[in-house]
Amino acid sequence: MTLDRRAFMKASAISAAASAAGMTIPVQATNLATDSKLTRLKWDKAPCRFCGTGCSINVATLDNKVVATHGDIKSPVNKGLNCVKGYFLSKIMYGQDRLQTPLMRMKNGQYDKQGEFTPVSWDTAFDTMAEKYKAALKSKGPTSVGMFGSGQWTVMEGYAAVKLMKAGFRSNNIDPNARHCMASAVGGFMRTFGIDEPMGCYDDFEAADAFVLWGSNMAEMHPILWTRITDRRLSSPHVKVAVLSTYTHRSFDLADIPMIFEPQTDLVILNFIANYIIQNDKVNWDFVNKHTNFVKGNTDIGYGLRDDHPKQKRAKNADKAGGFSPIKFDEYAKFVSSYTVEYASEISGVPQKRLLDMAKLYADPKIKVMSLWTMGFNQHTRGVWCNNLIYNIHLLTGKISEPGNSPFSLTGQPSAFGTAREVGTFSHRLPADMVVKNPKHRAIAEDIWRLPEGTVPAKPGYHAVLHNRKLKDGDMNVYWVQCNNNMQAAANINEEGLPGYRNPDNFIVVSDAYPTVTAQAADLVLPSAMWVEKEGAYGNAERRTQSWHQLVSAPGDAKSDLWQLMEFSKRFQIEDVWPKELLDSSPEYKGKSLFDVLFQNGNVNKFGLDEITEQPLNDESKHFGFYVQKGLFEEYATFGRKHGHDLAPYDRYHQERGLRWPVVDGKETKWRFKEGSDPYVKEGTGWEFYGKPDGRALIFALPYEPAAEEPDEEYDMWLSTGRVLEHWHSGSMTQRVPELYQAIPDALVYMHPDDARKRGFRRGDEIKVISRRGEMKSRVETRGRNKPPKGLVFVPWFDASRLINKVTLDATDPISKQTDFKKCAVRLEKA
Amino acid sequence: MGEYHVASFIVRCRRKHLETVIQRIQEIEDAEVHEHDPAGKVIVTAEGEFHREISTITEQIRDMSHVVDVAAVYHEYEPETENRGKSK
Repeated sequence: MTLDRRAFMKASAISAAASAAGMTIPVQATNLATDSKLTRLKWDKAPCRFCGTGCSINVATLDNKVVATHGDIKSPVNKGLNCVKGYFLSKIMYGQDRLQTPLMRMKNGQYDKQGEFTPVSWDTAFDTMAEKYKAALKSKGPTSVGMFGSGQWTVMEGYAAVKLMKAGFRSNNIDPNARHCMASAVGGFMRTFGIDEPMGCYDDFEAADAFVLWGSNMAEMHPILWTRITDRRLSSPHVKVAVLSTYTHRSFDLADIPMIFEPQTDLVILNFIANYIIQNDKVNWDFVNKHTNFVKGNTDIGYGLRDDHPKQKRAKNADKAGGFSPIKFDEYAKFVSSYTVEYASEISGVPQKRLLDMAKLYADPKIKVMSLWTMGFNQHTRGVWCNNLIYNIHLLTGKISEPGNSPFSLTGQPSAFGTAREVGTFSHRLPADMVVKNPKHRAIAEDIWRLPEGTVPAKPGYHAVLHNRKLKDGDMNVYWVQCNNNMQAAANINEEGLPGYRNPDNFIVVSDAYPTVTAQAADLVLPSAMWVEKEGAYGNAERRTQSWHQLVSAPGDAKSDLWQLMEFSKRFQIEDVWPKELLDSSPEYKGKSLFDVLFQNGNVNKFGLDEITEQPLNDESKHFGFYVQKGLFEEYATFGRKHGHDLAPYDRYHQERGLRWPVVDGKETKWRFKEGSDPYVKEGTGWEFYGKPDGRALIFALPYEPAAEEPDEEYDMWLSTGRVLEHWHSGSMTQRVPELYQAIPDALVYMHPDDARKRGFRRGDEIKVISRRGEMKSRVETRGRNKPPKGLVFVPWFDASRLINKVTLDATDPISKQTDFKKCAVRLEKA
Repeated sequence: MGEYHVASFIVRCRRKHLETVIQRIQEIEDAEVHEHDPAGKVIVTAEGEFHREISTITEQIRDMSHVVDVAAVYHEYEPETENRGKSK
């Protein structure tokens, strides 16, 4: 290596940054960066594999290794920028403890639940797995097997998993970790609009006059989108930014209206704004009369706890949580009339003036408002309600589906939309917003999949939180976890997760790239290929579907989750998994393997290897003998085409920086439900919420109800959990980058200095965070980037050595089944 | 063995404090300011033998008063060989 080479690297860095900033590139850098003699790198594009923003990244490879990345200047999402997490993408695949061979718990040469992890071949791993699946299916039937997947699965992986579980093993017990992340957002969309995912898009950032962050810390969690808001705010002085949170964080640096509120009182603030709009005669009557209906939702719906929990027993409508009935506008107006500014300020702790300043942004018809939220709303025992209530505000004012007027549900994972939601890897769902309990939807799925009537079971399976409970109770005995770290991520590890995995009746398989906490609690660990070690597609938060090619090979014996799912299906004859009646009605399936039925069905194997033109690598396709990713994608796309979820032909995604669905006549859709921008809206209607039979969205009357657990004399502090910029979620990838680990080495307990002083703690002291369920030790931080008010502590959950989810409560939203990781009661003691 | 890392960033600050921010960034060892525009955008590179040195620099800049955003753009690394030292 010479200094010339380094000068060239630096020139490339300067020139990429200057062009992303729209500035003149220094001459010296231009000369060096265009000197082809100095570049040995091969550049391709891929979406980032971290958060749900969906940035496109230029990825450089050299000698089968990723060595450089930069933001893709051609991407409309990130326009050449990258973030700190994306900036470490080149390192995440090369951690020293990368798994490269299957590992099984063995004793005396045999599988043993109490044995030590021992390297085994893929054949041994799959033979043992197949034996366990077959035994469980035979003795207890399809509900004894389950799968836990991810919003980090590629579209094709999630789709193959749904087929394998719902049609192959005939079990609906498949759920993604998106249940912890997005389920309440989905519930909100389905209830209000009858169709999932945001109507607006990122183009709203440059068109809005005001941004309201509901709990979201975009500065750390969605840095690229935050850069777009920052640019808009700093270049247009009239623009206002309002930030609501239960503690002060970095997004407050830009806030014109900062608001710290008492946990759970967001429900009151949301209803106050609706009331303010009505009281001040700011309802957009033309819009409301033509495009909305009013309904009253069931109340007192419980907290998604186990049925024998006293709080659950007391709840009047625990079994009818999602119910609602029609009301008139006057009844709605009366319902919200008690949510005055005085009441909202008193219960939330936010000064009246700030609440009014924010309400005026929404009420003024001339101000275009973008509302943004993520886990603050979604991880909430009334998360679906929060989503419904924010839509109320945008619907009452008609501020929706237009550039800049945009209620925007952000997302945490790269394909929470594309895979978990659109493919439907949930226990109750099928692709394109269809559900298993609807016989017509099952018939459509069976028809596309070329399977006999009655293959897909009608009853929804166990959702994520039930998985751990059913493993613990011994109802579900064989469980496959792919592409996530749920032992660290799920609430209440002590009482539910770990007892479930270590139940002697159960066999737990974990596919991952690294030995996570979840992998260590398993019986069999399968080494996975990651990111550009395979071809795939992701769907981001603005409905943008993006694909990428395999750019490097996976290390050792690591294989993609897709390869694992498809190869494993070869171990089953259809007679092993389907009942006699089903086979008797369709004898042509007899004697076939599950692989033949699901993946060699004439659809998935339709495209030959000759269609892979641009990249020499595609390990799965070479192994199976056909273009696997294209076949799966095209079969999947059949579900949504002409049904409001149209995807483009697969090959086009390799040419584009993504396209926002519905893609009709080759054109993407930026704003749904609005005439002129959405091809599904009928001429002359203006707006049409076509997810509902009458084209009208619902405005919900829903009250404030308290949290599942609140501080009391014994446990006197609120605990809120969350993330930090440098670590993504459970840290299983980012903690492999030693430098990132050293930036934020351990999860700290962020707290107010007065709360620390009162208990005799000093900054850096080791303390215990104790709840009714468990405890964890960590160090006090009173000055960090997160500054809680008195009465609340914040602990990030990325740190596998300090598991805060031993402390959290597994209370869920009863409608979405999503856990509330933001609120429970703890006390603090010196360790 | 160390490596050679180079990364570039766009720093966004409140425009009336642009000169102060540039000056403070220039005081950081291994950080260099290349370009800026009057709206408050500054192009910065950071070099080091480890990722850590670069994260430390970005954190230092992010924590400066008047800085509201630090967006990463480019990152490349190479294993350390005979020629130690940074590119000038």
